[in-house]
Amino acid sequence: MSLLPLFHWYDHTALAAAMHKSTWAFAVVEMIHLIGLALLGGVVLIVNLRLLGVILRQRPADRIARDLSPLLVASMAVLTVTGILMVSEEAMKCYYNTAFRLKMLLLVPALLLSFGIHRRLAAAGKQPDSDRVTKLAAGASLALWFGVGVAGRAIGYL
Amino acid sequence: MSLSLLQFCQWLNDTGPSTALRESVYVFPIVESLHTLAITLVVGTVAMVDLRLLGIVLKKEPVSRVAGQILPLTWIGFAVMLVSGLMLFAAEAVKCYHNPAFRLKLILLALVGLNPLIFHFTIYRSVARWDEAPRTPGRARLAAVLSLTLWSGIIVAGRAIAYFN
Repeated sequence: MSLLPLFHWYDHTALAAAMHKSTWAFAVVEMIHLIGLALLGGVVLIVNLRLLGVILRQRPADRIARDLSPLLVASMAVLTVTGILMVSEEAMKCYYNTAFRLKMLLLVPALLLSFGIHRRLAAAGKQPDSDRVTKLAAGASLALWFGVGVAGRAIGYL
Repeated sequence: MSLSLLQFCQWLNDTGPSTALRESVYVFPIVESLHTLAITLVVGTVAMVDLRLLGIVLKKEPVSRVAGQILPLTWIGFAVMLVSGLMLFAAEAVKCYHNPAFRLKLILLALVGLNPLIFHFTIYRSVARWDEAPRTPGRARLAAVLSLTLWSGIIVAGRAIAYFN
C-alpha cells in the first residue's frame, strides 16, 4: 500500500494552502517544534540515563519516570501537532525525502520504546534497576531519539 | 569600533579553514546538525532544572541533587554547542555580522549566561534552607522563568538566522 494518495490529498487541503500563503507560519511552527524537541530530549535523556544508572540513582527510576510522564506526553503532543502542520507546507517534498522517511521509520520504535519503558516502570512490583532488558531498552531509546533528531535536521538538506 | 569588528569578520571569513568549511559539501551540514542537537541537549537539561525550581517536575528530589546531577550534562552540550557555533560563525562571519537574528541571539546568549551567574552567587547560596521544598523561593522561580524564556528566545533567534540570509 502506498501512502502517496494520502500525501497528495494533504498537499491539497485548505491547511496546506494557508501555510503556503503565510510568510511566517512555517517559521513560527518550526521554532515551536524545536522548543518541544528540547523538552522531549530533556525528559528522554533523564529517564533513560536514570535507567542506565548514570544519574539520580538515589531515587527509584519509576518515580522519576512518573514525575516526568506529563512532560513527555505534553512535549510529544506539541511535536506531533507542529510536525503535522510543517508537513502540510511541503507534503510532496516530505513524501519523496529520504531523511523524512528515515525519521518516520525511526520514530515508530522510538515512540513504542519510550511508552513501553514508562508503562513497564509504572507496573507494580517491578525491579527495573537490576533489569538488563530495561537497560538495553534505555540505551536503544537514546540511540533512536538521537537518530530521529539527526534525520529531522537532515530533511532540510535533501 | 563597528568598522573594526566588521573588518575582523571579513578577515575571519576569508581565512583558509573558514573558506574550506563554508565550501564543504558534508562538513558544514554535519557541524550545523551537531550544533542543533547540542542546543537541544543544553536547553532540554536546563529546562528540567528550571522546572524543578518551579516545582513542576521532580518535586520530591532535592534541588541541589537535580542541579548537581543534570547540569554536568548541560556543560557537555554547551561545549559542543560553543565549538560548533564558533566554527559556523567563522565560516559565515560576514553574513552573521549583518544578520539581525544573529545579533539578537548573541545578546540573548550574554543574558542567559548572566542569569545563572547571578542565581548562583545570590539565592542559591541559601539552597540548604529550601533544598527539599517543592516550591522554591520567589527569586529562584524568577531565575527559572528567565532561563526558560531566554533559552526559548535563543532557539527562535538561532533558527531565524537562516530566514534572514
